[in-house]
Amino acid sequence: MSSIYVLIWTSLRLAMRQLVRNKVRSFLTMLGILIGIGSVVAIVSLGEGLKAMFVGEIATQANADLIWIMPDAPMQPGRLPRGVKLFNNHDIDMIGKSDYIVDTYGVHMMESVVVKHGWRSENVQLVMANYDYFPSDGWIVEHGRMFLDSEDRARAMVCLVASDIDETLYDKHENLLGSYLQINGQRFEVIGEMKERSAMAGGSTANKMVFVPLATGQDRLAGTDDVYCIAAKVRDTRELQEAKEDIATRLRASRRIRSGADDDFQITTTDDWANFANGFVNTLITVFGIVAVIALLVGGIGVMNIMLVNVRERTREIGLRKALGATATQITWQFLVESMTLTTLGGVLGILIGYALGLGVALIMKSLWDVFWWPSVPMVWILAVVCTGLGLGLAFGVYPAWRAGLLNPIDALRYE
Amino acid sequence: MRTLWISLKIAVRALMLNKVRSILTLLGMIIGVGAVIAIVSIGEGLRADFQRQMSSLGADVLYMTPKAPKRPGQAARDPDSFDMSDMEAIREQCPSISWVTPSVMAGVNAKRNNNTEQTYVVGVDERYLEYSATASLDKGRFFTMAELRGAARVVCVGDEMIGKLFEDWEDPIGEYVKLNGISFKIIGTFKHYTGMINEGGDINNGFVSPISTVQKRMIGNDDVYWVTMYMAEGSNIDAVKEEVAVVMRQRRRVRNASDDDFQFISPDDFMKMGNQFINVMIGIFGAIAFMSLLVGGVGIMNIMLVSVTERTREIGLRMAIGAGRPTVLSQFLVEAIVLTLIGGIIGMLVGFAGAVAVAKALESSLGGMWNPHIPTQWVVYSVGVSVLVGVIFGTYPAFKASQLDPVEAMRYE
Repeated sequence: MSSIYVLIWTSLRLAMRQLVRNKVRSFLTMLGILIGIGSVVAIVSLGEGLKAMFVGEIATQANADLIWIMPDAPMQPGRLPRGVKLFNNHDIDMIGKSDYIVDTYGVHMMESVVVKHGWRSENVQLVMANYDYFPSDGWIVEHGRMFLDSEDRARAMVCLVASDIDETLYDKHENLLGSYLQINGQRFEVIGEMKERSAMAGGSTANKMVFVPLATGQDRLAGTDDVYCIAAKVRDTRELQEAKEDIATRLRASRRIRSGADDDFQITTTDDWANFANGFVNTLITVFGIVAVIALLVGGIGVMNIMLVNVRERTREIGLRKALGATATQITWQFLVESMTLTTLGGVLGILIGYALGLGVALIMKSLWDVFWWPSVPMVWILAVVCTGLGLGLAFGVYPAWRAGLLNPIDALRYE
Repeated sequence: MRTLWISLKIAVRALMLNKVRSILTLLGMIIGVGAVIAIVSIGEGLRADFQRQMSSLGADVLYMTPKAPKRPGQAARDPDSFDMSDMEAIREQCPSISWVTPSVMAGVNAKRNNNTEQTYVVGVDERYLEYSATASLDKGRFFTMAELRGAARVVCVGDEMIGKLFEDWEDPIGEYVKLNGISFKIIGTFKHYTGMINEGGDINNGFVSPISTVQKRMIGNDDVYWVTMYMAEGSNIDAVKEEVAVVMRQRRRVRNASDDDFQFISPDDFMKMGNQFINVMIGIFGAIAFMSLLVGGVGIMNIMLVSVTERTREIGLRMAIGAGRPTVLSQFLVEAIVLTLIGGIIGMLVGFAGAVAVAKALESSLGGMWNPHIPTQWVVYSVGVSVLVGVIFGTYPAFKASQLDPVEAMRYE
């Protein structure tokens, strides 16, 4: 057992000596591998960095412990989904009874209500929801306050308005907070104003909306207990999958969907978004990576070429070692270890160069398009690169090494 | 000239002497050039195909869509759609527009028996088939003027959507499908479209219905999302754009051209965007592929250095019998260039073959086929680049050879 270690150790020492003796040649051979590994690592580090940024962004965008339940229909901002049954309070109750769920809230909207203030009036969209829906969907109260849970339960006549409402319905000097708005003929007190949102995040009508508590809206404006979207908070984010399945079963029962028929609702979590983004970036890494791997192949061929030269140049040395009792295996190992040392060293340096390259590209992108993320090389990839280095050395070194081992000592000693 | 010829002869002989080494060195170069050429020819083929498809739209067509005006310091907002009275205004006030036709689109939930699909329906007028570059009728018929006027609940549908909603043996013509809960009669099906043009959505997976129907029953107003216009013969495109813009500015109450909340797109613009995209793609992929060329070049330098070392005595001998330093330099430089040039030419062929293979492999998954294509100037480029690689990576070894001291060199062992 120990003899193999001795063999490898001896080969390693010989290899190092050889590489140092022929510095320029070793460097150029390594350079080939280094550029190949470097390009792959640059691509991977940019991709992994992008993934990390996506995950981070998604984590700050929405809460990871929320499950969104919507009808299985195309969504258009500002419009209710059509052609499908909406949810109702019974569905919400059913979901709330799940062991995995600690809290539920519903969202509904009316595509158009008449809002009147003084002599001005306007058609706007109305959103009715439980109070904890708002922060989870990115709504921030800029002035005033959010309504309370108790106001929701008591069906209080309070509302919040989006940022454009005061421009169209109010005079400049008028106080928005504490004033009254007529919504479909009923008087609501304005208790808060939302921060302005971009059309990207909230849809085209985002800044022309009014908001009321869910129960108030259902009872006094909509007249139904319809809800078009339900959010459920899970007890433990590790149970997201189980929670999703449980919700699906409960909803199928509550909506009386026959077994065999498709779900008429869809359940999404932030996990789904992250998975989607990861899949996308992985495709990118693969496509670009395949092109980069070609350079690695060329580098490997260079290693093989140089190892063949080495074997030939050292034919007499090989003959001598064989004459002194070295076996074919020992000679083969000597050259194999030499090529593997070359490629592994090249690979490790390639990680550094590749990361630097990735960082360079990231900085260029920052100056060109003002997007920036830190490239990252996960531990797994460092391990993978080392293995790739060893594998390349093996793959492209085995033929020259095998030829060296086969040399006849008598001919080899005589070789000139 | 004579020196060059002799150098060439010596180079070829030296390369033949060491076949395995020369082949491996060549291989590096072949793969490097091949990778770059493969990328370029895939990209150029894509570009040629794209341009051919775009030109099928016709040079006299002009599209108009709403645009979010840029106002510094304000969040971007969705622009207002057009409406049917805008169409009337363009028809009446723009003499250089010979034909204007509105389109809308709505996301729908398509349902038949137990099959539910999320898709979209495009609303168009009765002459849609005449101008559409993607839709052509397979079976059945298109809707009539009367159906358009009456906002009839009739649709034509793409073949993939039929596959999702119907069984193989069923004839969809005359059957009913529920879009957003409203029952529509299928009156026609479209032929499968394979190409890159996208008129609002993937025609194979969508529905097409009279615009009045979509406006009335899906959207609930008379919004128009995009407008297709045909220019009268012999009109100048910029003049036409300005003519329509003046009308639209007045109708949409825009004061300055810089605040326009609508924009025009012509097939030329699509072509420009497509070209830009393909250029970026060729640039990125080409840069990565170029790395292999670099590695190939480094390999050549390495092998040339070995060559010089191995042939030290030969160099010494040649210098002793009268070869000058330039002669030795050119000998090795020519050897390197011969290597890279042969590699480059074979690489070009290999790269093109690789591109064809990739296009074939993607044909089944993308559903479309394009022919890889190498523009003539790229043939010249790659020959030039091959020679350049030879010069860059061959100069140092050749220079080293030419600096040898003949006395020392002949003694070398």
